[in-house]
Amino acid sequence: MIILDESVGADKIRDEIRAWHKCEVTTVHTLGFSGMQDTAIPALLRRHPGCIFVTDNWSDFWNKVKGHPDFTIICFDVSGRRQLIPGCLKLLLKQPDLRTRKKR
Amino acid sequence: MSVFVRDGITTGQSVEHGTVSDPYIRVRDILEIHRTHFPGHYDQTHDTPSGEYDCRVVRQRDIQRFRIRGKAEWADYLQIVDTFEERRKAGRTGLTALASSGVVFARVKIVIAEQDEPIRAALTFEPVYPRRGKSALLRQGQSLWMAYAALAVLNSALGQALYRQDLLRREGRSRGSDGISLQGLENLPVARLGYEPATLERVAVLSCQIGTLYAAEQECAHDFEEELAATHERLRWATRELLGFSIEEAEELIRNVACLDTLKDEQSSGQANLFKEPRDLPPHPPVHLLTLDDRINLDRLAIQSERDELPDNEKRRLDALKGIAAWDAKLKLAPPRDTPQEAPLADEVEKPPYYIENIRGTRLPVQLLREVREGGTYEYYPLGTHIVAAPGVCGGRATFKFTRIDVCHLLPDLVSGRPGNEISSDFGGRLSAEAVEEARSLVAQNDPDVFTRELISQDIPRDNS
Repeated sequence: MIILDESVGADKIRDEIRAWHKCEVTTVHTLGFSGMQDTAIPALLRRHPGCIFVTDNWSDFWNKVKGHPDFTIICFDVSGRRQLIPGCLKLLLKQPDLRTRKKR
Repeated sequence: MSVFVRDGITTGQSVEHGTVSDPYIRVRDILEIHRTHFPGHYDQTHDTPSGEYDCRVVRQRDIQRFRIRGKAEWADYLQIVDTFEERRKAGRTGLTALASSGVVFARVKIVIAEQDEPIRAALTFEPVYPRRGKSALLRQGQSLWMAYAALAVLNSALGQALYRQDLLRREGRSRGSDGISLQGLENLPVARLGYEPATLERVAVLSCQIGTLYAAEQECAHDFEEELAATHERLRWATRELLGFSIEEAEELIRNVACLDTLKDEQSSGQANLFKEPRDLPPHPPVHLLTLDDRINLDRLAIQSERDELPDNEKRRLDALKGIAAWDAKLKLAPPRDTPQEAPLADEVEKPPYYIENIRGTRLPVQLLREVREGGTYEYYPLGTHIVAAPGVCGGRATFKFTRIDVCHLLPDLVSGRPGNEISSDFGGRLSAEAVEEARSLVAQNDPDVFTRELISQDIPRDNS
């Protein structure tokens, strides 16, 4: 399951990811609530083992959330160019170390 | 697992240090060796790098000891990834290990040729993707000097002998069954514990000098055979000392494993001269690429060129001497002990919080409001009707009320004048056009930097819990 942060979860971006990703693609506010605090997100992710959380809020997630075997956090620093995220995510998930849930 | 992607480059995956349980520091303690594949018959290369994701594609035969020779070929890494994937889907077997971007774009790496006749390794600071070979990355916390020392051992006759001896002991044969043995490489000793730091420095300096000399040869189209032979000789001596072998031990090992063929290109006249102590030379002999005559000529031509127009042949001579002088200066530079670090990017430096009271166009007085919602209590400082600073949401920066949508992420859209209803429709109507226009108005009145910081109030004590 791919969970998009609220700022990434624009309909167009979600649809683009859905076009190539077989599993569920959803948004953080659908699973939790709108306007969640940064610190509440890891707890939400733990409820969905194996999920990938995609955010562009890199300044708050990078180095601030410890790695966890149950979920993957991917931060994109795209300086507001959210339209780049689906393509970058597709390439990233093709990387040998990230291709399967087990490897992640 | 946390992955950070900056402009497509994956970084931040931690590397565990190897443990040392024998008298040697081994290659596996210093380098993380990656076995990679390259899509065969890939021909979309160009002569010069043209894009941000371009990497140098290196043929196995061009990986030589201490250098990568031959014409540079560049390719778009993202295109390689796509080609790799297409061929895999088409059922091409043997394509199992795509080099990750972290490996290709590592700041320092050693590329090792796949065939061990002899072992050939080159240290490079360029993004390199070997067509057939291995890439070794410096482990976290290891110094650049150690990387140069590993390079010296990999390229030495002693290293070759130790590699074959290890293979003989483990597999009963002196060569890998399918290219170079990864385990054999990792087992190679680089230094004996308790080594003299000065010896490590000497090995690093000499190893770096050899690479620089080869680069100078290629660029200046000039032969530095004598300088190379002298530096190789000193490096052999220093590497043996770093490994803690006596001359007799080292020579016996090499004789037993019969790998003197590895010295063919080192101008060695035979085993007797293999470990000749460079007594007549200081420990860090400066290699001069310019002779005294060259220096006199360089000065003369430089002065003459300032006064008169030089004839073409003299001009060419002056340019050639200037080129050699530049490499001569480079040779005098010892490699830094630590891997060169990039200065932190401006947006990586933590910015201090910004007082809401100083934001132009905000609602005053500033007060913290609480609202109970479906998911719990939502606390925020209203900056306007729709824009807030909610502590703990997106690092306390300006966001749209009741969302995690950061105003700073919409800055390019807001500044470029993209209509509010278009931006609003991007988010499926969760942002009203009115809210977008309010954000635009705030952005127009303030420095954009304000929206990249945590916003706090002067009047309300900051909760540090």
